[in-house]
Parts: sequence; structure tokens; C-alpha cells
Amino acid sequence: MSSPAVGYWVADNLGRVLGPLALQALRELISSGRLKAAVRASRDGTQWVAVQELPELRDLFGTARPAPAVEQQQAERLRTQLRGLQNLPPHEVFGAKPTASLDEVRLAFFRMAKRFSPEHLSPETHPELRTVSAEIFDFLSRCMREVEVLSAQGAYQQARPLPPRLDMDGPLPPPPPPAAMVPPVAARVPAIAPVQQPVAAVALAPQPVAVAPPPQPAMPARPPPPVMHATSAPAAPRPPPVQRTHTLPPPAPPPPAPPVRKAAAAPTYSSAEFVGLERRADDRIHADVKVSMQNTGIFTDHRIINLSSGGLFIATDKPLRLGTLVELTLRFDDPSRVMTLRSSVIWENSLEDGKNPRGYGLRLSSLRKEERDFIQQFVSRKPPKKP
Amino acid sequence: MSDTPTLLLVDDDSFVRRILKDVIADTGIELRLLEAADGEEGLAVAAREQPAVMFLDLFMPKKSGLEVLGAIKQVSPNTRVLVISSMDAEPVVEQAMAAGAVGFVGKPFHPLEIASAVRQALAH
Repeated sequence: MSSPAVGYWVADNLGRVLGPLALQALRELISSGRLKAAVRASRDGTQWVAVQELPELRDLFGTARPAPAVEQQQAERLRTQLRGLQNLPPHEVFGAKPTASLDEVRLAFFRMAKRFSPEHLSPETHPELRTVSAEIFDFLSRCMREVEVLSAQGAYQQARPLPPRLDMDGPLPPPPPPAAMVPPVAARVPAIAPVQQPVAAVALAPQPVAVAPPPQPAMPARPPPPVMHATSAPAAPRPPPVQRTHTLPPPAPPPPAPPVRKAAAAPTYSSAEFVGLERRADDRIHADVKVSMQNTGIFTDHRIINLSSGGLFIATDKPLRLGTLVELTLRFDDPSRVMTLRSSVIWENSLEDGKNPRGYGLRLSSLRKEERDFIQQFVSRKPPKKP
Repeated sequence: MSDTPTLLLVDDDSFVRRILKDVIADTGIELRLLEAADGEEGLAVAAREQPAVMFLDLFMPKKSGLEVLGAIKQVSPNTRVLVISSMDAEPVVEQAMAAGAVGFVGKPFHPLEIASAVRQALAH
């Protein structure tokens, strides 16, 4: 742990304050796009000056701001894309499959809507971009409420292809045809990866075996917890009170420890090289993983699902559904050992969000101390030096 | 006084607070939820209510999340703080954890992350 030698505070036009942070931390936040703008800065948290008066910060932020013309172009593109979305049923707006659970739709909604929330736009955002972002945010919120109502009514079942793309950075799509001439949706660009992809196999086998997700129990409806508003801020609009009957994964084993987010790193291994996944005759899912020095990252690389949280993460384009029980055989090469464990899918990431690899996380439900120690020792080995 | 644990959401973004409330409601965990829209208010509510768990944003008006983290032990020593922020660059995560946070969830978050974090924080 390195503590900041010099602390900086920064504040934006909305008065939001961040700090104290070292210059290096600020540099990472700005260069990664997490922190987009600031108008004031301080070295002690009390004496504030304009960012321009601190050259080291001025230079950092100077490279982060898009030109107004670019934002205006983004606004035009988004308005066109919004028109394309307005003819779609609500869940399709989020790119969700008709069979997606309410949680999955909600996640897709959150990921789409968050970037358009007025509170997430930089104060210097071009007015047109701000306006269209607010329109999109309202539209997505309405769609989410509709999905919740439909879900409660059990009417959330209608197979349709994927919607057009809503992407601030994507290419400008062609203008939508009149409503009566809308082409088949499959011909258009997908909005986001489907929230729940059909699972084939992550197999070495030449003939992948299709794996059907297990049925998921419906979660009983219950009232929300009591809320005391200790804030004077206006309450956000809530969906109408409805009986929710959305599906969730089966009761999961205890989840992993509160995650510590680390910068996403590309997996250092290819699951296709090491993982065999099949559906056995008795209907169980079985994953066979050859563990060698090259792929110990399955135990360590993921920021949430790793050995210390009692699990492992396998990067693949074919994730399993949350809650799926998986019989796991780990075949260690040196020292040679076979370990058969029960596990369940507690994490699936089928979205290309730029932060996490696609794949699924398995929680090991029966890992003994001796087995954990063995794995720990295995992953901590240093790779042999090349001759 | 009820035995129901208190969870305090400190985030200036009402949209995020709404999502968090929905997700927490879906966990089925009995909680008394409080909200605050900036760091100062968060500290004041924490001092008054002594919440079991606090979800804390980092980029907020009046007082930053890191400043709240630095002061929370004085006003509510038993509160477990879980940071939920889009400022999840590694040095920031490390700094937050060193300042006493029990976890760090990046935004956008997955509902399961939140459910997991709530359970873990309550079990501490």
C-alpha cells in the first residue's frame, strides 16, 4: 500500500468533491475516463483555486475534454438511435431476451441508463447532448417500469430479435425508416450483448454439447424494506407498486467476500485450452479443467471470483446461467493430482463491458482446508525459467 | 429500539440510491434503510443512527467519500463501510481499503455484488 505523498482534492461544477488523492491516482482516473472534469482544486481540502492555477492538474484535465463539435455530433447520433428504440417493446430496448430474469433486465437497464443520467454528465457537456441524454434516460426509465409491470403480470414473454445500438461512441447508424418500413430487427446492430446467452459448451470436444439452463424458481413477492429519507434531495420516481414475480437463481451458497475491484486485466489464459464442459447423462453439468502453470489465473486473476473468495473464474464466451450446479474436476499437472469438487455459478458476465472478461465464476462449495492449501501452493509457484 | 440492522446509503445520485434500494429489497434481508445525499449529511446521519453498514460513494458534494472514511470511526466506530464508486482505479481502491473500508464495489455494479456485499458486511 502506498499512501499519497501529496494529496489533491478536486471538485466539479456540481460541487462534488473527490480527494485527497495522489497525482498518480488522479492521472489514472482521468486517463481511464472515470474522472472527466473538474473546475476547482485544492492541496489541503480547504483552500480552493481554479484547476487552471495548478499546472499539474490543468495539464491532466486538458487532455480529457472532448470538443463541443464532437459532443454535438454525439447528440445527433443519439437522437437518431433513440427514434429507432421507441418502436420496440420495452425489454428489447435493453437487448434482453424474453426469458431473461427481471434482475438481468435491471442490470442491462442500469448499464444503459446510468451513462445518460443527467447527474453523470460533466457540467461542461454540450446542451444538446445533455438534453438528448435526459430524454433517453426518461425513456429507459419508463421502459424499465413497463418491464416490471409486465413481469408482475406474467406477460413478459415474447420472442423478438435484438434492438438497435445505443452507443455514445459507436458509429452513426442510418436514419430509421418510417415505422411501417422498419426492417427485420436482426438486420440491425445489436444494442448490447444479450443479457443471457444460450449456453453451448466451453469444450475441447469437437462436438460441443448443448447445455440447457436449469429451471429457476420464482422469487416470492414481498414488500420493500422500510425507508427513512434522511435526505432533503427529491426522491427518485419509483415504479408503481406491483407484485413482483421475477425469477432469480436458486438459493445460492454464501456469496464471496465484498469484492475489491481491481483494474480489469485480460485473462492470462485461454479457457478453450484447458476446460472441458459437458452435460452428463444424469443431467448434471461437469467441467473438467486441466490446471497447469499457464492457467493458474483462473484462481487469482478475477477481482471477485478467486481462491480467496472460495471460487475460480473461467473466461469464455459461453457463460452458464447463475445458480447452475457444476461438478468440477481439477486436474493439476505438477504435482499431479485430481480434485473433484462441487460448485455453482455465482457470477456470469456475458456483457462486453470493458471491465471484466466474459465468462463465469464458480463458487467451490466443498473445498477442504487441505485442498485450499494445495491450490494456494500450486498457484504461488514461480514459472520455470526458460532455457 | 428494533433489532433490524440499519444500512445507510450515502450517494449524491438519486438514481443510484433508487437502484440500490431495489436491489437490497430483492435480497430479502430485513434492513432499515437510510439515505444521505452528500458526505456531510452522511456523517451526520451516521453519528445519529449508528448504522451497521454504510454504502459510500466517493465523489460527492460537501465532503468526499474518502474524507467520510477518515472520519467515520470517530462518529460511528462500529459501522462497516463499503465503498460503491465508479472511481475504481487501483490506487483509489487501495487507499479506500487502507482507510478502513471493508469492501469496494465498482459502478456499474451487478445486483449479486450488492446482495453479496450486504450479507458479508452484516456478517462481519
